[in-house]
Amino acid sequence: MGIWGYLAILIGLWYLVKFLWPPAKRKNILVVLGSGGHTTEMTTYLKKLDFSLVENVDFICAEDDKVSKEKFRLHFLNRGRLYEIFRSRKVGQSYISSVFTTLYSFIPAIFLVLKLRPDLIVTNGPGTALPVCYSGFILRLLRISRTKIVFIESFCRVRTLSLAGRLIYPITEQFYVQWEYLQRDNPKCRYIGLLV
Amino acid sequence: MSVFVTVGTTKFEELIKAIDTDEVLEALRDQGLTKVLCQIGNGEFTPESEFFRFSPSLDEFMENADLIISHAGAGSILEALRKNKKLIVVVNQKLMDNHQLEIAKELSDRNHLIMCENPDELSSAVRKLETAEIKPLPPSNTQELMQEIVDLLN
Repeated sequence: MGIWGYLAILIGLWYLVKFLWPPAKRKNILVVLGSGGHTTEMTTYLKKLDFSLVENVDFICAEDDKVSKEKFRLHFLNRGRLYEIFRSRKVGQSYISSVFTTLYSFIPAIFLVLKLRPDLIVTNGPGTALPVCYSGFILRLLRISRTKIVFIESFCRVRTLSLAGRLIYPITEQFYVQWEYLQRDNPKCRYIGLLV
Repeated sequence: MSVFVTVGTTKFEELIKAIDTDEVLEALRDQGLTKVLCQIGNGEFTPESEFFRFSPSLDEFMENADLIISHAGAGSILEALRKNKKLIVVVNQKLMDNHQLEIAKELSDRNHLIMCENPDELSSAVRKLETAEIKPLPPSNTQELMQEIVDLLN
């Protein structure tokens, strides 16, 4: 089988994916809940969201993230569904092994994003944000979804971006920061004052 | 008037010990702060003043205080400043979390709070309250953020 054969299979697969998981008709936001203080900040932002303006909101967090699950239960139980996925990097894990677990965590992330087909992924890192955002980006490149990515950097990051922020920065539609220094050093950042 | 001291989810023995010294208590009394309540976490040292270990929410304690003395945790700092309370932040050198230090330093440079690099400096920080011009934290713009996100969606 030559290159045309493979190409035909790929195109077939592409149609199959689009057919098996048709895009949602309604506008979809996927919120990635990070961990600890990140989830607290995300909760603060979402309390100001008028949920009546958004047709559907889904939440995602790491399977072992008790804080995020509790915050979801307290504040957003009636607002949407919570999906749990494999954690990409545990606190204290070495960088080398975290490279492998992050790669591995792409598998459940890409299937979930494929299923949800979010129009917008909103995250402030870290945890599962990396595989989820890159899955959204890849599916957008493949024209399977229309996913745009919004990253909101923590109020704690005054002069340097977080690791998750730096990694996701290149694929964001909008990247919010809360201190003007960051906008000066990273031209794509948007600063509209404090957000917490 | 009353002071609320908080160490967050672990412990900060040096801070609670510093609160318990005559030097700091006197500095507080000179400011009219006679009632002291400490949240001490799982620290071993227990102060002479009133204390408790943990509480699901510190909201009420912060609300009732005229001055808050806190560890450098971003969550506590934010909670206190959003209640427009006078705030002294004491850095725990043992933890050396640079980002927490960074945010405390920035807010201190902008006169939103008084920062102590060391519990030994606590009494002088309390005395600074008299003359320091503490400015309230600018309001948050979360409403606009959420509006922009909804606009991006549609």
